[in-house]
Amino acid sequence: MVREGSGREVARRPDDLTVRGGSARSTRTTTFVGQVYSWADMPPATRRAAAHREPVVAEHAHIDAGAYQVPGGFVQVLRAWRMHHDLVVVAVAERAVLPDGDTVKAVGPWRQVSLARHEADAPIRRRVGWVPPGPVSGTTPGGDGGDGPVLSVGPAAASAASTWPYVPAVVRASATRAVPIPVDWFGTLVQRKSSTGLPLDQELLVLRRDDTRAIAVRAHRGPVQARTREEGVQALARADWFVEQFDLALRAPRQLEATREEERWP
Amino acid sequence: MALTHYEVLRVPSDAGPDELRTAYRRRARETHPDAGGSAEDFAAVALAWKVLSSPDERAHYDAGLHGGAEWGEDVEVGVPASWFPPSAGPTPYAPAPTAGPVDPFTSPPRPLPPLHVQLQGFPQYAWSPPVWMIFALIATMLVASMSAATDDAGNPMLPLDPGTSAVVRLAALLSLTGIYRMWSASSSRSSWWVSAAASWGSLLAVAAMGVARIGVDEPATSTTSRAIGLAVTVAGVAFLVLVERTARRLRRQHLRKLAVLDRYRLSDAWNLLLRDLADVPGGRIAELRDPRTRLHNGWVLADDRWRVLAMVPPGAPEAWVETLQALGLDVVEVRRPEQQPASTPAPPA
Repeated sequence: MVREGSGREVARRPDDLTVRGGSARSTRTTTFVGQVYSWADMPPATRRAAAHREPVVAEHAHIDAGAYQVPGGFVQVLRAWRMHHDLVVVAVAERAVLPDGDTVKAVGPWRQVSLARHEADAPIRRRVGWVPPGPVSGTTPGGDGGDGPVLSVGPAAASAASTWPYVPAVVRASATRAVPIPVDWFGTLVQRKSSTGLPLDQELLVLRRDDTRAIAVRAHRGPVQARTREEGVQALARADWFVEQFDLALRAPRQLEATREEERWP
Repeated sequence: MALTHYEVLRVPSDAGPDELRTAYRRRARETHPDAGGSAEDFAAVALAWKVLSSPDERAHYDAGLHGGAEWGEDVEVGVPASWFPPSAGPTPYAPAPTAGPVDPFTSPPRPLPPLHVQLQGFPQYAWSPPVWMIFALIATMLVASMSAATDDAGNPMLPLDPGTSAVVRLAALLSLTGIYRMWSASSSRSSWWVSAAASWGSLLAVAAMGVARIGVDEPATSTTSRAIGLAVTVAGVAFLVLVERTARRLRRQHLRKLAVLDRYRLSDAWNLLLRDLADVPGGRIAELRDPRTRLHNGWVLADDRWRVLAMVPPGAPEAWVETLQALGLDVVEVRRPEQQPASTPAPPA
């Protein structure tokens, strides 16, 4: 926490410090690794309980880095969210894992931990536009975004914190104004490649939700045509984002099928 | 509410460089971990100084602090976003105003509308026409084979008299012809003409069968039979006319789509060439001519030693110009290849 002159503690918005105002991180030097998860990876019971008739406008799932030690072993945690026209669903699942060298090996199916439905209080609002990536943060050529202090955020928001700097500054600013201190903050940046290994396009998904509002940002750029991998990477890093921002005013949350509290994880 | 960098340094937002430097030194002393401060506060002070001490970064930061530039347009969910909304004013992606007309041979690469935007206006089918055609084909063949099938004793499986059975088979033939005609609308030119021949052949068959059924030369033909023959002829001709009209509409749509795809491919290739031109010191664009016929054969990007680095097919600059003109930019027309000045010296052997 940063303290004001009076000594009163104020909430810090982590994204304020990750990149400087007006700039964004470039994907030119970013390495894309990891496995992509989706809502379909959630346990069937969760998907059944979260079923909703209205169309889905955005969804995303990710696994927390590493594993959590719990009584009786280790678990891996899968978090997913889905935004409908009138609803945001946030679900958490876990599965037992065993250490396997530097990584972990799943030894059981995903089991539902919690499922929260946040119903809308007003019709969904959508903002779309082409947004340039803007100036690149960082002083090094190519802007690897290594500037600023490394933030300490909870494991649940780690993927969002690493994705957030890639969002164009104007979009970041408007989303931050709408939801300054998110309760749920999830995000991912995915780059698709061709069968020959050339980068094709990128997609960025972020959810910021607090008790009164939820903002989902879905951005896409590409495909680009390139002759070499390096050319494709540079072209993508320069390309404008096609951004869609969905804005939902929320009622008080309704917890469904809440089986356990998740606070026991560190 | 988070602290701004100005609040972290405890200076007004219009503080000058000297005031900032003094404030930074004071705050650094106060927040340094060795002096009892926290590492986070010290990092925040360092970052604030890093941002505010650079005029460019400070300008960006101030822009973000005061709300930043707005982006995009509000669009209802489910409504496709327009490329250039008439009511939204300039968008960040709108072509930047230029001082004069854009020259396709010297301009920097420009953002072009993506393919899905250029294809807006073409109908989107939930199930593509070929899928429907396959269903229709299967149904037609099923009906035709059932009408012609016989049991072990040679009796037809369906209780149809020979005349009705012939009508059913004729309907199957018409249906097959129609399916082929519709399919060929998005196929090659030869398929299109072959299907036209098949279509007209079927029309003749229908007419012939109808005339035979009407029995113009046979006074003994019953009135019912003549009525059936007339109905078959009229229905067959009407069906084929309907198929022909639909196929021609699909064909026009297909050709327009091909033209858009071609323009997209060529304009993108030219944009890549312009991007390379900006990256290559001493790079130049030259016309490529066939060494024997001397006919225009495309464009090349060469470096200062006349080594060819990239090549694009003929028509690429024209497609690029057309794309940008559709966006409302003032672009210089491409000079015809024949009028290109032979200013480029012959490359060394």
